[in-house]
Amino acid sequence: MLGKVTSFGLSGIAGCAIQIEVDVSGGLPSYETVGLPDAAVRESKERVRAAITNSSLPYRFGKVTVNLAPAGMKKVGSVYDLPIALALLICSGVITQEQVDKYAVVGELALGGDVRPVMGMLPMTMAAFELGYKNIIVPFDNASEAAYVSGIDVFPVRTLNEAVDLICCSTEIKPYVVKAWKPELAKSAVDFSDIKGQQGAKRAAEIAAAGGHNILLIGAPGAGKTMIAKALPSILPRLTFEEALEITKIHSVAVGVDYSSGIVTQRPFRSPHHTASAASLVGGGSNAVPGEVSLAHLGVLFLDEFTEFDKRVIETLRQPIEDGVISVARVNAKAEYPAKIMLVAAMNPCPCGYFGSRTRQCTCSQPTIQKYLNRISGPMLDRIDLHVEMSEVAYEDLRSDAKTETSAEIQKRVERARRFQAKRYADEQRIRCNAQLEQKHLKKYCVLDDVCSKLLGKAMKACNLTPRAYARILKVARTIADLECEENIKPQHVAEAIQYRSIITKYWR
Amino acid sequence: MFERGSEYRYWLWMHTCLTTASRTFYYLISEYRSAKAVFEAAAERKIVQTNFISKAAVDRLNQGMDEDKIDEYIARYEAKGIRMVASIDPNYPRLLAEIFDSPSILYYKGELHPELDIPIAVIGARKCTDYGRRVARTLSKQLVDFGGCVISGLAYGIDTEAAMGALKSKASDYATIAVLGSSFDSVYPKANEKLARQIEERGAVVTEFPNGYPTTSKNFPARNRVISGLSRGVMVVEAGEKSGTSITVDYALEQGRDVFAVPGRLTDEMSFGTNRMIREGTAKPVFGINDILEEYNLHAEPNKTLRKEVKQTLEPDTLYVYEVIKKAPINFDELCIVTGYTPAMLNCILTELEFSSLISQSLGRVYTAL
Repeated sequence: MLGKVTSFGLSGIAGCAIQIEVDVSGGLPSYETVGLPDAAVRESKERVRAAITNSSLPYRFGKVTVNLAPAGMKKVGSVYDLPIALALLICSGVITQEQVDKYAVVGELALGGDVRPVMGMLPMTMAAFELGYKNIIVPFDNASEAAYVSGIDVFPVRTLNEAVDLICCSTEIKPYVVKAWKPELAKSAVDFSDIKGQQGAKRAAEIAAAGGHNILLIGAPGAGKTMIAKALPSILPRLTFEEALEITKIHSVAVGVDYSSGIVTQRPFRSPHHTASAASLVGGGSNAVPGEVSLAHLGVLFLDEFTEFDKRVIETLRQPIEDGVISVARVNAKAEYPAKIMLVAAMNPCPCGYFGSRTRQCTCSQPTIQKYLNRISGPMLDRIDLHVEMSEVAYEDLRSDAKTETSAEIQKRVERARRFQAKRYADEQRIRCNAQLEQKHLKKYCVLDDVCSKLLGKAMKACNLTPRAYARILKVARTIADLECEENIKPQHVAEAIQYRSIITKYWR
Repeated sequence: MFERGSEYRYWLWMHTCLTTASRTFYYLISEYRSAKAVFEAAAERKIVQTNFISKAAVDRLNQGMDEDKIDEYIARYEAKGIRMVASIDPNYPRLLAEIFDSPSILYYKGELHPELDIPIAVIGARKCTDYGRRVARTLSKQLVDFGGCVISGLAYGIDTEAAMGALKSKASDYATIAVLGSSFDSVYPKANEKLARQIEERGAVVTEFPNGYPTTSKNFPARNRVISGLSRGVMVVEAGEKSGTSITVDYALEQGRDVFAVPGRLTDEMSFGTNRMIREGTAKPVFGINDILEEYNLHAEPNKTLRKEVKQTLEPDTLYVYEVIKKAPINFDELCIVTGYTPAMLNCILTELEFSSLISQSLGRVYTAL
């Protein structure tokens, strides 16, 4: 007797169809899973048997062979429990093949027959839709994520029995309907109005948010670098639905994310600790899972204590920052993950932290300082658009009740600048903000008049800039102009952009 | 110059035996009257160990001279573009030759003149403040502008600023001399190698240490006596309570050089040393370049017209920001508060002022009027 069920697996963040075939024939009772299963798939044998018997459904003994096709691809994880169980139930005559053929099925089983959530629901549902499936059976906890794919009916089930009833049409389960998706502003612990003083850094943060630029904050301990970084999510522009889907796709295949949250509504803010390994940052492991750069896609990757990161780890970020995509290759798996991030890095100027401070004497020797700063290489610095120096806030400033702008006010300006950019880049497929502009776009969108070019030429000489740094200044100038809704870049925009490049020559010689 | 049989050659041979032991060197010279006589005495094994001559030195001298080895020695330095001058040579800097333990042989790159125009040593802390940095740079440039020559030690901090300031002046072809505390094959600090090359072109880099001589902490006090020895006056820009600078000052006083000190704020740790020198009367306070120049019967008329011209072209806002910065160095956030301008506007103004060379930016985003 043969039973067939269509299920879905993952390859990177793309879903792919997996055909489950179960054959039960006479002979000594045995159970064999073939088709390159990993340990989790092979162990499904125990879960499936227990779940069927504990659901008071008949389990047909005999020589059981489970095949996962295509047989050449490695199968990973527990998503195939429910489809295998249903295929077995076809063999024992509980349901018929025709009844099942309407559905794609995904889900993990508990021994008691409950259906548990799985990773990567969104990409799998998208793949099912693209392959023309009209219905998909998913674990109840995954429904809110899967249902955002329009054009396919998502049937959430809590138990194996519910799935069987649904397929036999003995009970009616309505397709899951999601609430309308609404982007939210990130609730950050810090509001910009909580930060006293630091006008310069706040302005830089606003520019960074408006153009999606990378930013480096450098200053003595207690200057407020981390506060600025933590407040940053509160001024980021709201997500669009396409962006949200893109982000959820990645988060959905990552380990340790909340299944029940459905589709993301806020831009991600990731802040890995400085002991992070290269693989955890850019992705890796035997299954080539996404790393922090990909999890921060379209959001912020905050690296506090930038210099404390392993130098090799930091250098691995160079390519994804430049290309906005990272391809992770391992022996068993290969995947390409998007990584359009806004890098926010914070660091002290020297080991003791007080180099250049006006309140305390630095105790480090010159070679120590140089060695410390050299942990950040020139190419890495080049890729950071805005360099911001922060000094300690005076006590009077801390106490002052002078009214400062709230995050909401700044966010409005950022949003406006982004809309201005979106209008300009309407014809470009892959460009959403200034930071994503490529070399070829600069000539088209960042046109300079004579005065501006002269000014920039002077800066090139004074700060010893590389061509890459030149391009970064152009992009920042473009964003500054966008904040004022100016069609053309004016000298004052270039002049301001230059200020965010000039500290480099003071520290890195 | 080191032909076979000449006194210079015997001088060089003695130097290779004794390297930096200048006191032993001159003791032997005073005993035997000439290097040639020392050589002849050594050939007859007449030189014996005494309180003034170590056993190792005697052994090396008694080995005699291998002419080929000396030729090879000279060729080796020539190949690297390093020149040598003996302290009896008329081209040896006269002021340095006056001190009792001047280096017997001075290795140098660039040009050396026996008589320099008002050589002034600019010395100070390695870890100096912005104030010290600025003063060292400005005064050094002005010194060269008005006919002086800056001597420094090529260390970090004040030394570097002094050399850079001197090189900035276009008034003289001969701007500065750097004295190394290491040999030419291991210039210390390495980060200043590039600066050393620039100095060679506009002056000289000198050292008493032959190639291969280890760089240890003992070298630097020895180097300091050469710095003060080469100079007519020593200007201390910043010095902490206890610092290597005081060694140079002691040498300078011993050698009869003038000592100048730049006063600092009472609360500045890096000015404790200089302020103390002024109080004790060991140093003359420097309030401007003329305080140094007048000691040598010179006077400077600073040219301020250029700056005025630039200032006239500035917008009122820009001029206002410049006036604020001119009062006292100020950082960006304070400027925001004081002027009430937006960061966007200030950024723009500051770039303009920086490019007009009216202000400069330093660590902590502090802006200072030049």
